[in-house]
Amino acid sequence: MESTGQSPEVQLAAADATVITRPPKSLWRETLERLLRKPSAVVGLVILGTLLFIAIFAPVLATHDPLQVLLDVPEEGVGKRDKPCIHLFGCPGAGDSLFDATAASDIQMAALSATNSLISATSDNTITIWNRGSGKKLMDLQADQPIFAINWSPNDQKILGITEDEVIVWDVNRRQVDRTLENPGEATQVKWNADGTRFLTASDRRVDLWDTLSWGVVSTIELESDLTEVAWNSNGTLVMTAAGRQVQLWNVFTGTAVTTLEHENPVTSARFNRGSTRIVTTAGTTLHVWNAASFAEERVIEYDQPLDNGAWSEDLSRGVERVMATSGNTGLMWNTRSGELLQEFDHGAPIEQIASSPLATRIFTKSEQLLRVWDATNGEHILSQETDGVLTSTAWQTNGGGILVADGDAVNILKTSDRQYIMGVDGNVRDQFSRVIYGTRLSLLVGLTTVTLAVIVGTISGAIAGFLGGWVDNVIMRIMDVMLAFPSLILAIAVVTVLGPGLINALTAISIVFIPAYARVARSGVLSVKEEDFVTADRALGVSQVRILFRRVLPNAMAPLIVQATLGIGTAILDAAALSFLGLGAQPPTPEWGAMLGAERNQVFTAPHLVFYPGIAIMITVLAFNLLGDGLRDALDPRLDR
Amino acid sequence: MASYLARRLTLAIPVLLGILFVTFSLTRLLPGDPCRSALGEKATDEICDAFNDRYGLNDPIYEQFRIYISDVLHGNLGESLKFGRPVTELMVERLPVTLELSFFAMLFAVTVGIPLGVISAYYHNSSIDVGTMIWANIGVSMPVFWLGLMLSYVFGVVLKDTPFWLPPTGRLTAGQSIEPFYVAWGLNVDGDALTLPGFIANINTLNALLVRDWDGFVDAFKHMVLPAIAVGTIPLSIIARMTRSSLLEVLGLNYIRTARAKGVREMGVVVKHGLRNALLPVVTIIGLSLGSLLSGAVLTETVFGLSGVGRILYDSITGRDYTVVQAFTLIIAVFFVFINLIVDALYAYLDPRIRLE
Repeated sequence: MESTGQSPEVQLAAADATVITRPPKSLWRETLERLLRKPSAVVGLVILGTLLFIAIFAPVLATHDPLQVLLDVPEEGVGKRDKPCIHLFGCPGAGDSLFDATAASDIQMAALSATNSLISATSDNTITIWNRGSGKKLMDLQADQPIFAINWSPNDQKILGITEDEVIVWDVNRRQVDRTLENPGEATQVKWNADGTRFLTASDRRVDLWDTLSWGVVSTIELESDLTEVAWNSNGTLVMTAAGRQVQLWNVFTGTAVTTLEHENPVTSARFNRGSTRIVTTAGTTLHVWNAASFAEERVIEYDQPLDNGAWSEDLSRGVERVMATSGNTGLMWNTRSGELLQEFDHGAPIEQIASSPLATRIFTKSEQLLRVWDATNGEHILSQETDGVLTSTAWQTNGGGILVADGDAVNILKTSDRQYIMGVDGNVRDQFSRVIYGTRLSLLVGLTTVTLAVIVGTISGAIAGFLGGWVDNVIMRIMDVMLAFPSLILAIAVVTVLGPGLINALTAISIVFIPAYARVARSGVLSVKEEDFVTADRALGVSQVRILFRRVLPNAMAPLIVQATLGIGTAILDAAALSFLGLGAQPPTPEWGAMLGAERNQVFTAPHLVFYPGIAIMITVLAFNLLGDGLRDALDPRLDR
Repeated sequence: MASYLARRLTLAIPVLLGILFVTFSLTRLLPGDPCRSALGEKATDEICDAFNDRYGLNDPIYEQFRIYISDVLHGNLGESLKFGRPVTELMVERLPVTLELSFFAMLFAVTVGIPLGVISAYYHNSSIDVGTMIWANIGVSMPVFWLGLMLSYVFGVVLKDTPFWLPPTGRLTAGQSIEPFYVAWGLNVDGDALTLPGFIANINTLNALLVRDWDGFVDAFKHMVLPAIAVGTIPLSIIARMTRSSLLEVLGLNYIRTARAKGVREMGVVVKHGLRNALLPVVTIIGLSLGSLLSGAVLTETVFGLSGVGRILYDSITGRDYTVVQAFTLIIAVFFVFINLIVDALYAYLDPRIRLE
């Protein structure tokens, strides 16, 4: 039979009930597991881990010293900034155009106004003026004859132009000719002095000095040979002329020569430095540096080729004193004090102009068709701009961030700095990125120390109040009530006012302000635990009060305190930042986020990145602690878990 | 109800005394000689003696405290060292600005926060809910002053030349002015009688409404928008979170199921049965947010160029004008205590169980 071979079907009971012996888990481990199931808490933990990493490895991550003023900075951080932009979101880099406009016909010369807010371009009879910030064309000024030269007055109010027969003064505000004067004799150059009270017109052998009260010539300088250079000194009292082998300084009021600086060869260039304390001249193969007050020759530099285009590259506040000249295709730079040759810039074409940015961090060299920008400190080539036509004018902006270039009928401002400063440079020329990185240390430290202090004091006083009860409880809790009656920041401000501004005092103030919150939490925790059976048992066994409080009661009332403390760190960081923002916390050079915000708050319209990054950093840190705190609360109290 | 209020008021008295004590100690604890910090280092001993006599600084400390309390109760909060004017006068000038700002900030926080919380609770665990709560979390983590700076940059600079442009600083456009209502109504007031009308007229939007100057109202309102958003964002986030969690709790209760079973419309269930009962903790949180609102106002006014309490507090701190710091700290704290009292009263009114405890 088939059935005999068939083994009896044993139907085992389905394993519908299995007994799992769960290994006993510690409370901590269970809490952690519950915490890690909350995505928001995990995000918080990840951010905190990253922040901790940044804080510990700040010296490695930071690209610069957060306190050091950068010496080779591209001058975008100095003075007025270019169009506001947030660096990581794409700011113009080196070679990008900051300003772009096209004139109706080919431009003979372009110029920035004295304050750099307007740009003019001259082509034949017309001067076209644009607003530098908005790029909008403002006006066309017309003359009857081709304009040889123009010059902006120091306050941007007027433009002087010179044509074959006339000297024309335009009023820029009213957009019309202010007055027309007669050209005294074939003059082709015109220049305002530094305060706009006088100007000069110059032809090959004659310089006329004008007064803007009478609008007449007050004195005339006659020269024996052709003029190579004429310039005002910076307070408008002297005029320098270079002609033949002589460089002469003239008294503006009398028109008489003050001194004559003699050279062995014909002078090819002469230039005042910014403060008009020195004059650099080139003649033959030598470069001379003269003192403009004592007229003594301070330094003679010999070179093996003829020199031209003497120029300065100085920032006296940083002790940078350099002179420059060109020789054929090469730009040269020397240390003024030692006479040592610092750099040779190989331009590759005959150089017509060499100029240094106002803070002497960048140099440009320009030939007929090529513009190159160099780093002044290490001689590195930064960018070049080439054209098929002719580069008619090039000039530095006064804030050094860009170069005005006129090429054919187009006017541009080229940005010269690259993006090596990730978050830009702050108002004191320090690297913002490094400061934000170092700020992490301080903020975490502030958050942790204030809360630790407040938790210790608050817990002890709250626990004592709850444990002892009676009048002790009453006194302690009434004091806490008074402290809670103040909005926390206001009380912190009041405390810092007493203690005096400073980071440590701000920390103390915030800790004090936070005490009542922890005292209340600790008290209610202790109150709920102290009537438990195990406490009564301890009492019965004669365990000391102190031991009961610290070994039995407090550990069991800890959970809400941990939650409160985690959430408190975020608030503490915010309050500390607020105090620093008001100038009561960390003091200026310290890279503290709130203090950085406070220092740059007025720049928000021109340099929003300086405000943006520290704020974002504060926000992320506080957010991390808040997320973690929320997660902890849910993990420690499963009833709230929803 | 009355007995409950009376009890709460009595409880507030020691707190008020404590506040007075704190603000009193504020100036006594200052490092350095009060005379020399007020009159300068070169003040001679005779001058300082006279100074101390005049301000009662030679009296025993409890006597000084008594004088201080009686001064405060008589409305004499001292004289600003910097402005040389009574602090009360400054207060009439500055308080309306802060009140106006706080009002609009609270209006923004409540009108946006509660609906947001209701929506998140109703669509619990949906992407709307998660998104709203993420934003609420970010909202409470933002430094107010930074938000203010960024708002003024975005709306004042980036959105310039668009219809969204909003004035980033000031209270009124330059050249715009609103006639004080007491002038428009032909009321003849001056001197001390001017205090209250002056106070009200300083609330630009209210004054514009009173004199029906609609252009002025729109202008004043536009200037309030950015500061109000900046100050209101933190309370908004807190209110939204609180409304959500409180409503979630209520929506899980039996009577909601009953209402649904009765066939009450969904809107009615959520708003009438749910929200009404869920609002109690929200009211508390609104009251408590007023503290952060005031702190926020202190920080934001300097950013938006509003000359309110925050601004003068900031200026007096930097200018070491301690009487002003003292007086304004006192006023803010007292104000805060009374707000809490009002909240308690409201709470007791809304939930009768509390009165009986």
